[in-house]
Amino acid sequence: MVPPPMTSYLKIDAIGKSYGTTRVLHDVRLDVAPGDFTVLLGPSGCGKSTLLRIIAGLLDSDSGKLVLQGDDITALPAWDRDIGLVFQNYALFPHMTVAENVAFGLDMRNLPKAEIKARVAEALDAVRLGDLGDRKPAALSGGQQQRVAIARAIAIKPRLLLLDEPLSNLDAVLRASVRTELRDLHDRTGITTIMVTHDQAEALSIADRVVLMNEGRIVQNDTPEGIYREPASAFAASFLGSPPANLFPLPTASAAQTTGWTPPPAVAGHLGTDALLALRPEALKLTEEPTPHALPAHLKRIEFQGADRLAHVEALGHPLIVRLSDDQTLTRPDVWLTLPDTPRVFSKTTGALIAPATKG
Amino acid sequence: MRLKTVLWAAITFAVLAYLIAPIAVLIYSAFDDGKFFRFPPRELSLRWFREALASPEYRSAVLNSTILATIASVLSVAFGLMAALGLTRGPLRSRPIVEILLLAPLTLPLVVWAIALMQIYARLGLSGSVGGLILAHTIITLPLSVRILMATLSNIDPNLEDAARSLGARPLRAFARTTLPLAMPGVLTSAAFCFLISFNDVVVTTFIAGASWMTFPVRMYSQLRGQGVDPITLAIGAMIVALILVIVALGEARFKWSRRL
Amino acid sequence: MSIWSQPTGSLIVDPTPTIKNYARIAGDGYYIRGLLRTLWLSLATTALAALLALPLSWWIVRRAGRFRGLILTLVLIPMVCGALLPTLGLMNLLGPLGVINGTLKSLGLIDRSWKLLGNQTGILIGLVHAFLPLMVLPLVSALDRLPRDVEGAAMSLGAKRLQVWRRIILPLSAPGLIAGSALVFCAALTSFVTPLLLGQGKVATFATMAYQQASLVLDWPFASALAMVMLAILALIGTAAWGAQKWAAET
Ligand SMILES: Nc1ncnc2c1ncn2[C@@H]1O[C@H](COP(=O)(O)OP(=O)(O)O)[C@@H](O)[C@H]1O
Ligand SMILES: [Mg+2]
Repeated sequence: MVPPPMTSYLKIDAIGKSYGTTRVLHDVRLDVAPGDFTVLLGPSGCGKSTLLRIIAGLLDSDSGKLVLQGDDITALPAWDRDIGLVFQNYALFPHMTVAENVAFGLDMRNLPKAEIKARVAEALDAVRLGDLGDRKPAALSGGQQQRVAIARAIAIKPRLLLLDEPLSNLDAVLRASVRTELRDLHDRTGITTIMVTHDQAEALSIADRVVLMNEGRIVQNDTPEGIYREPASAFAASFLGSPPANLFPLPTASAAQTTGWTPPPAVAGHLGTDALLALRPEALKLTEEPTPHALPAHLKRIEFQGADRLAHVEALGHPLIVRLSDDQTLTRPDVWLTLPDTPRVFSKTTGALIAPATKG
Repeated sequence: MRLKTVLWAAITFAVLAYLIAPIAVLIYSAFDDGKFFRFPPRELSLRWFREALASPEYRSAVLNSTILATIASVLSVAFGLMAALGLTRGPLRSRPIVEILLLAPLTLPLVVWAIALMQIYARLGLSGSVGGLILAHTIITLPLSVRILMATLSNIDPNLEDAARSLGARPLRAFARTTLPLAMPGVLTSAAFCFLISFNDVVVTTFIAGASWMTFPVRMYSQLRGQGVDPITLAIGAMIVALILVIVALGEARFKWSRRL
Repeated sequence: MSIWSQPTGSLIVDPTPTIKNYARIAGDGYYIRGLLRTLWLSLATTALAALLALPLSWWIVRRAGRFRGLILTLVLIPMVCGALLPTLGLMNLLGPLGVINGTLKSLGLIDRSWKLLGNQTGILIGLVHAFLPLMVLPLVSALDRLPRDVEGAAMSLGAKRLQVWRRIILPLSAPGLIAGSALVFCAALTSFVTPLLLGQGKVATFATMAYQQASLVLDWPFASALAMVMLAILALIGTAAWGAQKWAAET
């Protein structure tokens, strides 16, 4: 694991939030390094938007502290925070033109007219909307509206840019290109950015750091590669990847024996305990001839996905998905499944990592 | 097919004629030169319009009505806006209350209000006071303004104000720059309707004001109950109706009033 | 207030709770007849308004085109002109020397005036006029919501015009019809100026009785009791309409 960033630009310190008796955030702690593109990833309803609104100052936390560039901003109202926020539905002011929308924050700062004009033009150019300043938002496409929302947020030269599911209202084709543009924009402006999404592919492709949330808690904070290769929990393993890791409950030693399976040594010790293996589809191999430690499996069908083929198999009564190598052909339904030598083992009940032991 | 279309149109125009007829007759009868309206009229003239404009009594009655309705509608919209904000945005929001509040005002049993207010005023010693009358008119118009404003606000994205705040606007300014301008059509609509309800009201006013504050409708009402309608009343009524029609036509064209009620 | 009493001839209210006022309403044929008459007038008003509003609303939604705004303005007339001015117009329209009788007489079609004022006919004409917008507006908004091609779709499935109306348009406009009926009924029930003026004091309704008690007899507790009865009916209608809406939404 990469060590946590030493210099903290934004420090989220034990932020808690409840609605009535429902706790939505449980003492969330997070350090964001300057200039980083951080993605808050998690299933719908896990509290991502709530956390984002608390950072923006639009919602009060019940407990905890926010420190931005060394200043405690917990009690600072939203309008004094200099934090740009892009709403999921964009929240463009429908009665103002694009240019007026972008100028709004500058207007509030009472900047001179000429400077406002220059900065509006600069922000619109940054999102490549230079010539649409006179339009009303309603006369723009979804993608254009979204770029206006971004221009409006970056025009104030924010200390932090927050994006709430910015891509979710775009169609699939647009989403991929806007993703790249967002990252480019970040790299050009250098604004420390936190983006919220529930789409793991989006998170992995765009982020410097992925912060995985579940049920109001941060469950892992890592680089995209780190979180993909070394999930810290069964939840992380099953949330990331497409398709995600197979969660394979281990049989008892006797059940393994009756099917004729001799597990690899790193796994054997966990037979019959409360253990799950997290097996990435690409880390599994299917063969028609037995290999040492291979598990007998039954091939049900092969799904063609263009670049990939996914084999759906069943082993010990559990379904598994295996990504096939390009040249492989399988002709028989009775196949052998080879596991990695040291797969990640999680507790079935708590989802916590059992093996390999974490470094440090 | 043709015949059916014609039939439809005929029914429609008959109903429309029924809607317009009383107003048309009212305006027409104001042109009757005689002291009492009769049809066919003996002679048509502008006599009563001239007298109406010259009469100080009537001028003060119309002025009274206008002042009362202006103050009441401004108050009603101000309080209505606060209530609507609380009910759609604030901690008070709750579905059942909202639904009842949305339906209730259209039936507004004025007689019931009037009887209740009359007794409350008698106890508080407000009977006959102008302040009490303004308050009463504010109260009877409030439900409609809350209804119209709630419908307006529920169509405005609450995120807009949050967006304004995150861009550096203080709460009041955020409201004034985003929600308020977007709610303006609703505000104007409810102001207009409150004004008209208050301006035209005779029930609540006669119950609680007695003779202390003679509004135009009260004057007209007492004539209708008593010796008969003065032709000057007809002339003023005709002018008022014409003015209302122009305002409503503009309101419908500009703000789609019929959809906001 | 309605549970207090006021000795006859006195203006002092006795604040001991009593159901005397309600007993008086229930026991006196005058009030029971008044209540029944009021209910009947409200019901008739509602039915007539629905009958007139249905074709008009359908026409506004489907045929009016660019005249829609103009026609809706006309529909709003009774609502925005208050109770009094249209009533005054109606009196000049319906009176013995009014437009209708005058026209018929000068054409020689009748020689004695039709009596259109001072009876239930006049009141009904006035009530329907006053509250027609309350029926038209919800109907128009209900019909607006129904997709333009449902009739076409129904007819393509073999439905005849009348069947389209009965099976498609009426059920789909039911929410508007229910809301409109409840509004018109409640408004007619508590209407006061129209029955008083067009009835010329000869037709007593619940609202005019309450007015009489409150303003002329000055028996406020009794007036309150009458008002409470009206309020109870309103609440009942409101609940019924709410239930009917739900039922219509489900079927
Ligand atoms: N205003 C609110 N009142 C009550 N519960 C809320 C409110 N806003 C959000 N929640 C609840 O808080 C949880 C987290 O919501 P949110 O932060 O919007 O999730 P996410 O953005 O991750 O989908 C959800 O379970 C949601 O139902
Ligand atoms: Mg969210």
